[in-house]
Amino acid sequence: MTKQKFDQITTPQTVVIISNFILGIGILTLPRTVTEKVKTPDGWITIILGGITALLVAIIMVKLAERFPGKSIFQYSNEITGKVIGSVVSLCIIIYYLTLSSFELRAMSETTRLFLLQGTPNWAIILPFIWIGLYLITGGINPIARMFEIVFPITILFFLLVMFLGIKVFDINNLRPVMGMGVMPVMKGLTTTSLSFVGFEIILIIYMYMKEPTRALKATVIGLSISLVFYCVTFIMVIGALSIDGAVTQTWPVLTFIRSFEISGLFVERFDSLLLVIWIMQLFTTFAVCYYAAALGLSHIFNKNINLFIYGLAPLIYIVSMMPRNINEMFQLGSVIGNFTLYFFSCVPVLLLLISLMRGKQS
Amino acid sequence: MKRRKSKTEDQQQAIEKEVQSNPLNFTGNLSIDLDRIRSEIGQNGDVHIREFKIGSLNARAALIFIDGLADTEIINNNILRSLMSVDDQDCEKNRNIETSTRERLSTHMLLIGKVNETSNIQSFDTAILAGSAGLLVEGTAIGFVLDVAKAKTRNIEEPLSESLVRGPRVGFVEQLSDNTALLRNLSKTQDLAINTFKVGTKIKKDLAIVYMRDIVDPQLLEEVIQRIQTINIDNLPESGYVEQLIEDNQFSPFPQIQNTERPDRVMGAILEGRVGILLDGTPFALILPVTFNMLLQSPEDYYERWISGTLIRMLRYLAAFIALFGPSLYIAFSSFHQGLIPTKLAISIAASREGVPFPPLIEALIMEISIEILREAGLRLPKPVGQSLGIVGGLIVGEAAVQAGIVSPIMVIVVAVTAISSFTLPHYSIGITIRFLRFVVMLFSAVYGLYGVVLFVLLLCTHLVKLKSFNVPYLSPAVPYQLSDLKDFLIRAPLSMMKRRPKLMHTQESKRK
Amino acid sequence: MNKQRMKNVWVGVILSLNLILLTSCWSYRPIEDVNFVAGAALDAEKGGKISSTLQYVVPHEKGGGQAGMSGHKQYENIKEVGDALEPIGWETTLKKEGSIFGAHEKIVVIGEELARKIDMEQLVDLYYRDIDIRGSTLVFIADGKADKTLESEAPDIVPSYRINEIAIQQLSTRMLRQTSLVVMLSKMESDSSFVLQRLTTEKGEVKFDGAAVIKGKTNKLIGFLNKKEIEGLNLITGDSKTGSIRSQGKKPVYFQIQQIKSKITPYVKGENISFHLNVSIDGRIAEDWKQSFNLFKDSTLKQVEKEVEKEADSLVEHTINRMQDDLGVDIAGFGNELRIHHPRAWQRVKKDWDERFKTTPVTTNINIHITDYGMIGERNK
Repeated sequence: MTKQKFDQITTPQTVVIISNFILGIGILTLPRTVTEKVKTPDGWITIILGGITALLVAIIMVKLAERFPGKSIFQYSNEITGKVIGSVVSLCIIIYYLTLSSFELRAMSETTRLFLLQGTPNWAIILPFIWIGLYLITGGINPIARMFEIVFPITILFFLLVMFLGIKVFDINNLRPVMGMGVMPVMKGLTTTSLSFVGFEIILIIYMYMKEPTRALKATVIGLSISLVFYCVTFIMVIGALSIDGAVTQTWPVLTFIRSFEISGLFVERFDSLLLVIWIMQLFTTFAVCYYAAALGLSHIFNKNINLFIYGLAPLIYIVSMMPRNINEMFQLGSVIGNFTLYFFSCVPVLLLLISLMRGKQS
Repeated sequence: MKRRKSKTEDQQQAIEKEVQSNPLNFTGNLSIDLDRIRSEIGQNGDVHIREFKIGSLNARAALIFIDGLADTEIINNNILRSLMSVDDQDCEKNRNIETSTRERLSTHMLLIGKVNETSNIQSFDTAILAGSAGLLVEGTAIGFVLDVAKAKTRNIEEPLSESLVRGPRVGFVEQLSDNTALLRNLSKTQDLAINTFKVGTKIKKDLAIVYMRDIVDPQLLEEVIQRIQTINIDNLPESGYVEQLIEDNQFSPFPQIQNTERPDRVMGAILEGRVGILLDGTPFALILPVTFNMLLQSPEDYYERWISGTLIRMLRYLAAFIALFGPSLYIAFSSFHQGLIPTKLAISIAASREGVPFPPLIEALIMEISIEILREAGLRLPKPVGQSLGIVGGLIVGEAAVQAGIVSPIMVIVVAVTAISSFTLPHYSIGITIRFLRFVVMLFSAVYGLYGVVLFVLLLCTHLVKLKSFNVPYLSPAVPYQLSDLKDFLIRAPLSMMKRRPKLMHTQESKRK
Repeated sequence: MNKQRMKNVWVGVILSLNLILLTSCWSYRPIEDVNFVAGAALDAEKGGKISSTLQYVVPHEKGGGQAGMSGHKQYENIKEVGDALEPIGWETTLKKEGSIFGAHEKIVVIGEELARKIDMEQLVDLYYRDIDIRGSTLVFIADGKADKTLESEAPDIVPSYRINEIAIQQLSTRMLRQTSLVVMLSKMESDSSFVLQRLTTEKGEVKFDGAAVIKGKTNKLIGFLNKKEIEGLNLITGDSKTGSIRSQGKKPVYFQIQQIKSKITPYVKGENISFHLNVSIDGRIAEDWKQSFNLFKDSTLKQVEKEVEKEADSLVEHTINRMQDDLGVDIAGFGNELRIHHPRAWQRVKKDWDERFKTTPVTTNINIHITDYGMIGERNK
C-alpha cells in the first residue's frame, strides 16, 4: 500500500468532518447572538439565509480546490501567487486555525468549569484535552476521520433527543409572528449567522485526501445542510421556550433552555450538564481538526515531518488558550476570529480562484 | 533366501563405508542400525524395541515404538500378527513373483493405512517420538514409519469457555488433525484450504492456516503468512503465543485476534473472508482480523431468530457499557454532579452514604478489587468449591461490609450489577480488557467527574480508531461507515437480508452463494 | 512499526504522568456533605432587610425492614437575615455544616410584604445566575410570612416537595398553572404582568388559595385574585385540565371539566383594538342536586348546558372586570395575542399596554358541551 492510498478519506467522512467542524461552541450561544441582531423571532430564517450564503462561498472554495487535486491550500497558494504572498496566506490560515483551536479549548474549559467542575483550574481541564488531541492527530487524517464518525452520531442524536425532550416548555407563540416586522430585521443578522457556519473552509485542506474528489461539492453541501438543520432546530426550540426577550439575557441560552425542564422517571433528571458532557466530544473534534490543520500547514510550508509540528504546537495552543483573562475577553477573542474569517475566507479564495483562472494555473 | 543373505554379506564392506560417509542414513544392516537407534533414543525407558523374524520372508526385523504413544492393539493385530505368521502359500507366491522386500511388505503384510518410508535415521526417530512405530528389516536400508499413533486426545466436548444454549455442542481438542477434521466436516468443499506450517525453533509444532480459497483477500493471506514466518521462538505451547507474536499493537489493552474453541465460529469467520489459525496442542483457534463488534457477538445471535438475536445483542452492548462505566458513573454522580440525578435518588444515596468512612473512589476500589479477587479465586478452585466461594464472597462479605458500615448498600448494588454485566461478554479476553479499563475510568472520574468519563471515552475512541488488526480498522464496520455491513453490527438483520459478505474484508466473492 | 510502538509507549507514559499530576480533586464534593435545599422562603424583615429560610432535606436511612418506624422530621429550616440572598447564604454556613446545594430546590416562596416592596427581578437574580438552581423551580407568593408555608406537623414529609407536587398535578381550576423561574423570566423581560399562585397557612398546614398579581412595569405585587377569579382566569387562558363549574339555579348541578379550549382573537381597526374570547368546554355532569331530572332527554342536557354557560360567563366576566377595572393589568395574555397577530399595532401600544388594556372592549362567547352524565340518567320524585 502506498502512502497516498493509506491516507484517503471517504465521502461520508468528508461530510462528517465538515459538519462536525461547523458545530462547535458557537451553537451554545447562537440563539442569543442571532436574536441580539434580529430582535424578532425570525432568527431561524436568518439562519437559513446565512447557510445559503455560506454555501455560495463553499462552492467557490471547492472550485478552487478542484483545480489542484492532491494539494492543500498551503501548497497551491504558493503556486498561484508566488512564494512570498503564498506563504503569507498560508501563515494567516495557520494562525487562524491555531487561534481557533485555542478558542475552542478555552470555551470548552469555561463551560465545563461553569457547569461541571466548579473550582477546577483551567489548566487542569485543558491539558488532558490537548494530550488526547495530540494522540489522535499523530495518527493522521484517517484516524481523525474515523474518530469524527464515532462522535458525530452520538452527539447529534443525543443533542436532538434532549432538544425534543424540551417540547414540554416549548410554546409556539414565542416564535410568532413570522416576519411580522418585514424582511429588514431578518437581513440584519445575516453576518452573524453566516459566521456561525465557519468551518466549511476545511474543505480547502481535506480536499486533497478525498478518495472521490468529484463528490467534494456534494459532501460540502450535505455537511453544511446538516449543520443548518441542526442550528434551526436548536434556535426554534430555544426561542420557543425562552422567548426572544428571555434568550438575549442568557450567557448560554441553549444550556438555560435545557435547565428549564426536568424529566422524572429516568436515572438522570437534568440534561444541561449531561448535554455539555456529550458536547465536549463535539468540541474535541473541532479542536482536533484545527490543531491538525495548523500542523499540516506548517509541515507543508517547511516541508518537514508533520509530527515535529504537532508536538511543537501543543504548548503554543495551550498558551494562547490561557491568554483571555475572563469570559468577556474569551468572547472577544471569538469575535476577532469571526471577523477575520469573514474577511479572509470570503475574499482570499475568490482572489486565488480568479488569479489562477487568469494565469491558467492548474496542476 | 540364501541368495538374499549372501547379497547382504557382499555389501557389508560398502555399507560400513557408507555409515562413515553418511551417518544419517540407514545401512541395511539391522544390528548396526539398531545400535544407532539405541544410542540415540533407546536409552529412554519408554522406547521399546521388539526384535522378531518376518515369517514369510524369513528376515530378521525390529519394531521400535514408544510405550503409550503407539497403539499396542494395532501393533499386535495388524503388524506383528501378519508379519510373524508363516504362510507357505504366500511364500511360494512371493518367490515366484520377483518383487522387492519393500513392496512385498507394504502391499501384503502391513495391515495399516499410513506407511511412510524414510532412509534418514533422524526423521525415523522423530516419527517414533511422535507416536508412530518404526520397522526395520534386515537387508533393507529403509525405515518404515507405521502410523499407529494412538489418538492421545480427549473426546470432543462442548467448550467450557464459550457455552451456548443453542448451537453445536462441539469444541476443538488438542489434536490438530482432529481440529482440521472438524472443520472439513463442517464444510465439505474443495475451497476450504488448510495450509500447514512448522513453527518454533526448538520444538517444531504444526500450525495450520485455514481459509476459503475463493473468498479470502489475497493481500490478507499474504500478510498472515508473512507474519507467521517471522515467528522466532523456541516453543509455542498455546495459540496465545502466536497471537501475541503476530498482533499489530502489543501495548493495546484490546485483543486484536479472536480466540475460540468453537469450530462453527471459525467456519463462520472464514466464510466472511477471515483467516483461522489452528495450532497443534491447544483447543483454541485464532481468528483474524478481528473487529471490535465481533468480540461482543456470539454465534447464538445467528442461531436464534433475528429479533431475539438483535435484542440479545443490544442487551450485550448495554451490559458492556455498564461493565465499563458503572462504578465510574456512580463516582461521578455521587461526588461531583449530585444535581443531575433525580431528587429522590440523590437523597437516598446521601442517606445510604451516611457514616461510610471512605470517599466513593476508595469505596468503589475496595469493592471492585475484592470482587475481582473473588472471581480469580473462584476460577482456580475446583468447580463446586469455586461456586460456593462466589456465593459466600458475594453475599456474605457484601452484606457484612454494609452492616459494618464500610461501604454503602448502593455501592454494593453498583458493583454487583457491574460484575454480572461483565459476565455477559461472550469472550474472556475482551472481558479482561473491560475489567481492566473499568479501573482506569474510575480514576479519571474520581479526578474530573463526568468530564473525566468523557476524556476517557475520547481517549478510548482515539486508541480504537488508531488500532488496526491486519490492516482492517478495529472499529469497522461502525467507522468508517459501511452501511451494508451495519446490518450485522448493532442489530442482526434477517438472514435473507445478509446476502453479502462484509465489505470490510475485501472478499473476492461478495455474494454469499 | 517499532517506531510507532515506541511512540505509543511515550504517549502512554505522558498521559499517565498527567494523571499522577492531577490526583488532586478540585471539584470533589461527596454527596453526604452537601445540604440539599428543597425550597426557599423569602420575607421582608425590619430595616429593609431580607430574610431567607432554606429548607434542607435531612436524609434518613430507611431503616432496613423497620418500615414506618422513622417518624423523623425529614427537613430542617434554617433562617438568616441579611441585605441580599448571597450574604444570607454565607451566613447560614456559619450555623450549619455542609455547603448549600440548590440543584434539587423545587420551590421559592416570596412573602407578601416583600413582594409588594421589592422588584421581583432584582430579588430573584441569584436564582437565575446560580448554576445549580434549576429553571424549573416554581415560584409562589405567600399570604403573610413565607417561612410559615415551609412548616408542617406531619411526619415524613418535606413541605416544599408537597407544595411542588400539588402545583405540578394542578388538579383543580381553582389554582393556577405552575409558574417556573424560566416562565417568569420571559414575562419579566417582556414587561408583561403575570400571576403567581398564592399559598396560605391553615392550622400550620399549607393551602393553595388565590393568586398574586404582579405588575409587569414594576415587577411588584399589586393585588390578589380569589379562587373564584382564578377559575375565570383559567377559563380565559385554557390553562387548566380538570375542575368543576356549578350551574346557575336554585339546586346546583356540578359540571366536571374535561377539556378547555380557549381562543383569543384580537381585532384592530385603525387605533381601535378589541378582543373576542371564545371558550369551549367539554365535560360531564358529576353531581346533580335537583329533585327530579331526566338527562336521557336531549333538551334537559341543553338546559343544563345553558345554566353552566351562564355561570361560566359570569366567572369570565367577573375576572375580566377585575383585571380591567380594579387591577388595571393584563394577566391573561391578551397582549401576547395582539403581538402575534398584529405585530405592528403591538409595537405602538406595547409601552403602556396595561393602561390601554383597561379600556379595551372584550366580547366573550362560551360554549359548554356535556359529553356524558355518569351512571344515573333519571330521577323521579
